[in-house]
Amino acid sequence: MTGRLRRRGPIVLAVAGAAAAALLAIELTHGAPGYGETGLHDPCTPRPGAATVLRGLDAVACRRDESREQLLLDAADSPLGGLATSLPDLRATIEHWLERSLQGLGPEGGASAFEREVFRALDQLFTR
Amino acid sequence: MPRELRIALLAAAAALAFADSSIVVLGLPEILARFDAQIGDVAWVVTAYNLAVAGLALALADVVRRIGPARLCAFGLVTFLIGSVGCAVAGSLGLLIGLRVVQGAGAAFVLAAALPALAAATGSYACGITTWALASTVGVAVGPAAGGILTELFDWRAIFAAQAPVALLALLALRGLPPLPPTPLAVAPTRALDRFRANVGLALVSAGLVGVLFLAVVLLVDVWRRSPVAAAVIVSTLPLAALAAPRLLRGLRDTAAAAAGAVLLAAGLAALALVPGTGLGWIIPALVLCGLGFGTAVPVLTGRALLHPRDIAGAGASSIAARHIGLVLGLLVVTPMLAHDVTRGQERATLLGVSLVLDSPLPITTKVPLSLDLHRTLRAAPAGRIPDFSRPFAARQRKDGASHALTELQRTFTEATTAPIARSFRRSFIAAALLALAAALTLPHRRAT
Repeated sequence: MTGRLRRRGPIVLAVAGAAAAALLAIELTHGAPGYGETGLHDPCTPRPGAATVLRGLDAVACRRDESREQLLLDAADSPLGGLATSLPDLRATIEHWLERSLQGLGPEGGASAFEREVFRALDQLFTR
Repeated sequence: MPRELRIALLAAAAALAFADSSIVVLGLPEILARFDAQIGDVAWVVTAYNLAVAGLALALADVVRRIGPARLCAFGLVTFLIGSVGCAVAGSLGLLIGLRVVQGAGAAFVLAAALPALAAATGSYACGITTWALASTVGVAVGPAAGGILTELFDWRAIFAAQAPVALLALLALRGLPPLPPTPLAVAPTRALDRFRANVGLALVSAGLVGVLFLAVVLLVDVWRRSPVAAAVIVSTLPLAALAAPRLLRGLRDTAAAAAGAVLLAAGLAALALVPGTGLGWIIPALVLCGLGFGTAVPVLTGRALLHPRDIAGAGASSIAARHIGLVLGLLVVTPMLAHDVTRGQERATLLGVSLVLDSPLPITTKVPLSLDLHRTLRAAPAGRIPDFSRPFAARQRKDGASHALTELQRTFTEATTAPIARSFRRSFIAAALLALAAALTLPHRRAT
């Protein structure tokens, strides 16, 4: 074996080692530690501009100490889960909650009272 | 038969028997769907073969000496042929696994006999060992790519059907096989302890290799949704790098080369564990590192394991057993870990997906049913199996009509939910990397004089 060939192995090995270290470093600096983490929004922190029903979900989830996503998935086997497969049924269900909530408010009820009632209805719905 | 053709056919038979350890991996998703099975069950299609080879190979050392390589190899090829044809027409998962055991038993005979048969065909033990070691490297590394191409072009059954002609041709190569060369070795043999350590190293490198042959392939096909052919092309960087490795790293001492190979394989597996996206720019360099590591360590360790002063066939049988025990060990460590972590990953992906759906500009009457449909899709998928989330979107489009917002959401959803599932492969990749790294600690240091 010539001297050049003898030297090639260690040089290639050093290059491969450096490439391995560089690849790992690049991965770590390009978001590998947080890749695939599911950082869900804290339901107790207000979400500006969210729709009433979604704010309701957040409020109920905050009270139950879980994410609104988990709350919704927990409801998959509840009556909501059964009704929600059909769009007209779901619309009717939501309208029914809102109507019932409005009827329970009375003339002195304000927006916050209305929302409280929506939250209560949602809470009942998600509690098996 | 011309000498070169005989050597090529015998080497092809050995390479095929080695390739069968991993050849079926890219066909696993199709087998999963065909038999409606789970990852843990279907992994037995791979494990059963390796277990059969590992279990039988050790017992065959004595038989090779008494019966002779030609007759033993012929028996192995016929058994392998029957097993292959049976696998190609198997009607149930249980039968497929049983026939994989038959195939593995045949492969154990083929592999144990191919080493002395190649020594006879080439006229020297040293050439026989070199050819056999090359066949093993090519076979193991090429297996997934070959299986992927066959699965894509035909279906998973073609993987087994295509093996029958190779076995038949190899049978022809055994006719008129020259006698074994008289002098066992022209180089100094290794000591018994060093051969044992080399075999332990081979077992651990093979266990680590499961990370590439099994995990990387499942990640590409099941999570990144690449076609089997695309996955085969990507994974083929492994054999290319493995074949280039001995030439590139020439000049290193044996022990240094084997240690460096194990460390490079471990580094490649760690890089696979840490991929921060689905771009090929992440996975291909990692596979190249794995290939360089594998191609550097395995030939050195195989050479060390086979240099027995009198009994090359016995040393070969031990080496075959060590490699396949390693593959089984790797599968037994990685498969349950992956099945568990992927289930958790699916749950995390669903929560992230639901979050995206709820924050999307779709009407609430679409968001809520879609979220629940996605959840149901996950629950309907068998444990450890990655569901196809595109179906709920398609169903919702049929019900509510196609909209730009829904199409855009599906694209974002698919990208975002891939990440938590890909992350769930991390622990398994790291476990494989640690197994490969452990190989560096077992290496033999001295050669007997």
